[in-house]
Amino acid sequence: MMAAALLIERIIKEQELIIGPLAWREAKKVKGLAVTSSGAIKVAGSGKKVLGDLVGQYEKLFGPASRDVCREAVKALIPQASKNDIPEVLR
Amino acid sequence: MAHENINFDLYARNAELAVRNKTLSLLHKLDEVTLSTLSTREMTERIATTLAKEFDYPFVALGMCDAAQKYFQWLAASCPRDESKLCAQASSWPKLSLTKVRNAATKSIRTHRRLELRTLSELLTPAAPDDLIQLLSADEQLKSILVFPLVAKSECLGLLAIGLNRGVESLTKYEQETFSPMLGLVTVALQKAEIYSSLVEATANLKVVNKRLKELDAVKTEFVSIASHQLRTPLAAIRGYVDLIKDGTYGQITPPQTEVVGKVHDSVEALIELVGQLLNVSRIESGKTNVEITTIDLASVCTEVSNFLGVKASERGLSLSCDDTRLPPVFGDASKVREVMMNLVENALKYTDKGGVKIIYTEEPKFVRIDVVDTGFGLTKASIEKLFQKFSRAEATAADYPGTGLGLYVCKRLVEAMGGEIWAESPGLGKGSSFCFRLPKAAKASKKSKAK
Repeated sequence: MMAAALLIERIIKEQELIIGPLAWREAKKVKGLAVTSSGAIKVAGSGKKVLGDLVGQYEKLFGPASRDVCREAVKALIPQASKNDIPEVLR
Repeated sequence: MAHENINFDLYARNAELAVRNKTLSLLHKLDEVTLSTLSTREMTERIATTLAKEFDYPFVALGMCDAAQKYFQWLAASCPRDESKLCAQASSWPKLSLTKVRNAATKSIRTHRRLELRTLSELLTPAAPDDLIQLLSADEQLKSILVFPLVAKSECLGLLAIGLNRGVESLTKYEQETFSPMLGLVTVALQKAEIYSSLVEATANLKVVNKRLKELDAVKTEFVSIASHQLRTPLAAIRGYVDLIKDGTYGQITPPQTEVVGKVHDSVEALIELVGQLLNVSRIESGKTNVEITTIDLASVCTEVSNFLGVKASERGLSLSCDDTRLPPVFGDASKVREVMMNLVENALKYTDKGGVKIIYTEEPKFVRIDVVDTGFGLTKASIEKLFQKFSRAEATAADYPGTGLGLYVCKRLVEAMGGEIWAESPGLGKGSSFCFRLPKAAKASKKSKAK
């Protein structure tokens, strides 16, 4: 099973390429998502929900293009993940 | 709302730039790989590994065609899930005949077209081992395969195969944007590796040929040396007896006989000179000539030669003069300098009908220069360039004057062995010529050394 933390990390790093450190600050605002001092991602509760909320957080600020960027970031990993773990917005 | 739209628009443009940055970053990585090695195998392995890692591809393979476009050989394959390491042995998979084998690889090479496949067996059979094909076919992550021909100057150099964990239609923007420059870079890298390996091969062949040529040259030198020695003894006897006949030791000879004997004498002299020169050349080329470098008085050697050949010059109605200025000592071998001077002055007298020959000294900062200047036939520019080569003679005189074409070659080798240089100058045909050489001035504390 593909860990939600890995998908989240890919999305944040891809967003970081576009908007810089702001990508991490915005990610930390998502409920159930924490970033340790060493940069590791911790997910509390439903990974699927956190993933969806993270995409929503970026979309709220930067519009539909940011949703496409999130999709592109995890495209290569999606086939390895269970459908139940992936929010609709990333499929 | 306008503010929000500007924000969205900026984001979209930044996203595009990010894709470009990632593309450039990957190309830079590939470029580093191609610059890090010249070995085709190592380079292809690193390219395959870099691509698989960068894009999370479950399978990447790279192969090349031979120069004659008859065979194709896989050189590297990368498959992160291959725990048996079968992919690492790709370079030992059998070559595929491009005319006999019909699979997706040979088809892409023949048609120069990109192919999209569903199974790896279409691509890897019959090259890869069955175990690997079964292993990869069982991998649920491998959903499709893209096969790219690597084409340069309308010739297919090889193939790049990429296995995807999704359909070709869901390639990311980054992947799509990267394909074209990536293929160009890989193609150039393969070309470079191919050129390098053919250079290595050519150098190795040249070394073998060069070694063989050196052996043959040594055999030839040895043969010339032995043959010349064997010739010299009977020639000396012939010359001796001819001289005795000429002098009347065996009874008076008639005028017609005198003329014939004279011709025999001249021919024997020419043969002895040729044999002597050949021996000189073979000694020089086999490194058997000992040049004893000491401090010598160049002016006294020149005066000696001038005095010796003065009689010959007078007989021909020519003048022969020599500078009488004092010269600083030079490094050289007196006997070799004498040989060089004899050759140059004799040549000058031989090719001069009117006027004469002058020996002129010039003191230079680090050398002493000697010019043997004649008022003879002169030389063309083309002759000057070839004069000091073996068996080379000035075309204007070659037909009318006998000679071996070895004298100046011997002079050049001797002067160079003494640390000097030799050359010829002429304003043109009919305007005389100068044969010049220079030898290094001796340092205040003269040294003795031996050179071969």
